[in-house]
Amino acid sequence: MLNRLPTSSWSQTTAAHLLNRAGFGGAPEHVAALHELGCEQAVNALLDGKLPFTSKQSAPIRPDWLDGEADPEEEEIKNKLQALRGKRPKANDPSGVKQAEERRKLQRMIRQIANRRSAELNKWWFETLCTTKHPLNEKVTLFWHGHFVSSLEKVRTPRLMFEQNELFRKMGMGDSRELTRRMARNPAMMIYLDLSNSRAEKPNENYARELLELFTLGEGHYTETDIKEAARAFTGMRLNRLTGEVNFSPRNHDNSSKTFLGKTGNLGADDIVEIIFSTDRASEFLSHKLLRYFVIDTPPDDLVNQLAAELRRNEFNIHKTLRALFLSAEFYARPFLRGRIKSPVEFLTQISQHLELDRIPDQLAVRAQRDLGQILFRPPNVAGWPGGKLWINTNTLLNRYNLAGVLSRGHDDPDYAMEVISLTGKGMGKGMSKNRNAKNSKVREAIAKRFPRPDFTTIAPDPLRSDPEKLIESLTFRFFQYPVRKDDHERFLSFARTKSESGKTIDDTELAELIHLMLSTPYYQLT
Amino acid sequence: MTPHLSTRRKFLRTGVLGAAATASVPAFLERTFAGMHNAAAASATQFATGKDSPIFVVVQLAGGNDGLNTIVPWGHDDYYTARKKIAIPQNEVTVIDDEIGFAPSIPFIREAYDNGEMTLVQGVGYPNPNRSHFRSTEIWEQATSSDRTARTGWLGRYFDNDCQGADPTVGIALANQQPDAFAAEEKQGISLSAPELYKWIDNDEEHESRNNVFEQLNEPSSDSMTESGASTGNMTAGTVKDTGLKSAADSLDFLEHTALDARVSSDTIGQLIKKSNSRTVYPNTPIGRNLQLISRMIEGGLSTRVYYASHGGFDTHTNQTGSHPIRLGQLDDSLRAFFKDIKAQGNFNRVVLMTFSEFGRRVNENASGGTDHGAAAPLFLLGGGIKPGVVGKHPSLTDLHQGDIKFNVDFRSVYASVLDNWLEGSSEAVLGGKFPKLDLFKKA
Repeated sequence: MLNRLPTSSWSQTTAAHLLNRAGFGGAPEHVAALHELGCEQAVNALLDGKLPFTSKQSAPIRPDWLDGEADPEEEEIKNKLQALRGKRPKANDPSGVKQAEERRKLQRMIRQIANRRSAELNKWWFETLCTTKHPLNEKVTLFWHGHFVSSLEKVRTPRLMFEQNELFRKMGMGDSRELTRRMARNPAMMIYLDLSNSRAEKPNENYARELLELFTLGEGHYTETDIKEAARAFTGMRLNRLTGEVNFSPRNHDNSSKTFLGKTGNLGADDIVEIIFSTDRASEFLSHKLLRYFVIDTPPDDLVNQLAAELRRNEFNIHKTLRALFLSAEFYARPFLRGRIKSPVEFLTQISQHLELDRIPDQLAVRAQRDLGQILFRPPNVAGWPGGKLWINTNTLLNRYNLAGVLSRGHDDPDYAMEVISLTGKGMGKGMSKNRNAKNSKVREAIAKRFPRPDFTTIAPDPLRSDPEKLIESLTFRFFQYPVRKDDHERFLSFARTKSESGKTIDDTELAELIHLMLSTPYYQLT
Repeated sequence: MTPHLSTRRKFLRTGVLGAAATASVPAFLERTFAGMHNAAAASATQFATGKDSPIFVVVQLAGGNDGLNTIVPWGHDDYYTARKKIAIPQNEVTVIDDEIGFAPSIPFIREAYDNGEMTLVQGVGYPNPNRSHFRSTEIWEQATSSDRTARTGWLGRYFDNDCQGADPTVGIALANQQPDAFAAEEKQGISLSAPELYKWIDNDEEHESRNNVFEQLNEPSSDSMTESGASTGNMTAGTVKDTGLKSAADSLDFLEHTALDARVSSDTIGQLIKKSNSRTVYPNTPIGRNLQLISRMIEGGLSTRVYYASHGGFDTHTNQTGSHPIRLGQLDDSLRAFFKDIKAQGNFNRVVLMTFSEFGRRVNENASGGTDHGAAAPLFLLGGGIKPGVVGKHPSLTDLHQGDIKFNVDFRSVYASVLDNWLEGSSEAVLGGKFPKLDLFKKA
């Protein structure tokens, strides 16, 4: 059993921890508002998406194709393609060559639409993560995206990736057994793991293998025979790639007897999932994965077992299980506070709130995801983002530091902006190469457009500007929500003092320099 | 700022270990510096004595290079039957023997072969080939059998196993993301996409005070926060999907060491890049720029054992007579410039470069004047240390496996030879098994 967090332990620090882990972090005022509620109400507010605050940034505009609005141009192409289907003339028939050409042309047009939509989809979700009223729901959606992995790289149809994303959003907080059952007939997953053409005579083992190894049990808890038997149970699902329709084709389903994890019968897809979840191992595996995502990279055994018991007690309901976790003393244990390395998405959503940014420009958001190693809708492989240590190497760490500079300093420090532009070339500096004089008003305007604007008045109101101690105290809570090591505190303080010597107040550019230093630290990479 | 810090900074840049500095640096730093100093000293001796440590350069041909239009089986009618539109005519092939020859787009590789500086390994692949780019690349980079995945790559395992005490620049990948081959438990090398960006960007290099603060903030702490990181009991056994960070203290410790690696290597590389003596002109292509960078790093005397670069655009499903020779030509031109530099530096005998691609392509051309994903293909090794010639037989063009030529050399045999006979490592530990070695190197 998990222990309840004593009321006396609820503080700004624990409230911040909850907001960081069960959401995407927040500005100090958000932490304060959550703290006001008390632990239980705060947890409920996160679970139900009823937070006492909303994002400053405006919610993204939904691309209309997300909601199934038929795009006449796309429909026409698809109809033409559909008409060409099945018409496969003999190799030496000259009309065959023409048809093949026509088909390729249509497919190229489909790809162009897909590329445009891939970009729109990424932008939409990224901005949703930054602005959502229900951060926990999005965080859970991102969890499942990294668990039941599919990628645009292989799926190629943004609409199908979006439908899967919506499924995670709608069902992700519910019964995870049901979600697992749904995966076997989810179009994006069927494409990604080759279920769509698995038939009785030739079962494809890809899905069955990953289901057991990566989604539910983990290596060593099943045999190669279990994979083969499960693969037979998953045969017969058919997907029409053009319409996204899924059908069960009894003709292609293997109806003979199978033996899976010791149970024998004419097992179907749902039976396999039921057998999997009847084992304790399934709850332990999911528990470990949830703890890695919400608590600590390598969780202790006893905690894994405790949360596994919660999963079983709550019939694998994620909402109830997370409620127990977030209310527990274990969740707030000292070694776990600021103990996880931020994923790139967490880094970006948190920094955007810490700096009170109006928004991160599209191109920069995409570039940042790529440079930091987490592109939404494109996990690197079926195992998902490995996370933990593997988020960080010397290159991605320097990329984080420099991105922090771009976001905190670029807008108000034209010299810094020009330095970044001269180094990064294209991307950031598009169309600005001719005039590199930062004093030029047109250049300044262009910089202002490309670099997001932190709200320095909110971050450091006037009284703080002439009081280095108070300023550092305030910024430390804003960025770290936890004390920093003594040496670093001294360094921040002495830097602030040199900028406010003899009663001078710190201006925005100097404040930005200080902030860039505070964010260019190993410590800021933790949450 | 305290004065010894600026001294330390200079020290970091120059690599000179002074006794005064030793007294004031934390223990960890001291170890790192000592390690670097030794490495620098060793490489200086190596230059003087000529007993230099070997360097291995990997060039990935991403997308699946068409082996049959690279090393052309001109002596086989089957080749011309299968590729009516895209076969390379006999009169354009530079003949190796009555069976095979070089495509016209790789004259430098051909010259290297003529000069005894190139080895061609034919028909390289693996059992049960996978035709997905990502999966097959993973297989090559992790060096597993095709039904297994690993958490680490073959070069990462080499760093972990055989390069104890080396500094973080033991492996350098010129890539935005770390290649799978570098993934390691401990020592993953470094990845950088552009050396000019591989640093903490500030708008004023002379702004000592800001830079000093930055450097201090990125040093492992002496007053560590370990009190916050008391162990929490037994760790999950048998679960391999986490990376071993059990507490805030673990995570911070890992980040601090990476931060130090980043700072040290970015200083080193930043300095090296500036002081090259080379006047060789490289093609203005990504592979050209990356090989130039590698040449400069070798010239600068880094103690790096493995460099990695990638050259893309080999996924030639359509009209490949246009694109494929261009891609090969870009590679060939870049290799010419690279080896010219390496020879001028006097490093030719310590550098071996190997190409690889995730798969070759189908024997039959497709309807779009291209080729689809295939399996086995040839690879090249170039350099002064290789034993020149042709290894392995050209695979049959008629005895096929699902339309693809069958491999006759397992790529892990090539790796085993590289590891044992060139990199002075232990292939059995790195590859998790014994693979028959090939006769690829002079010193073996």
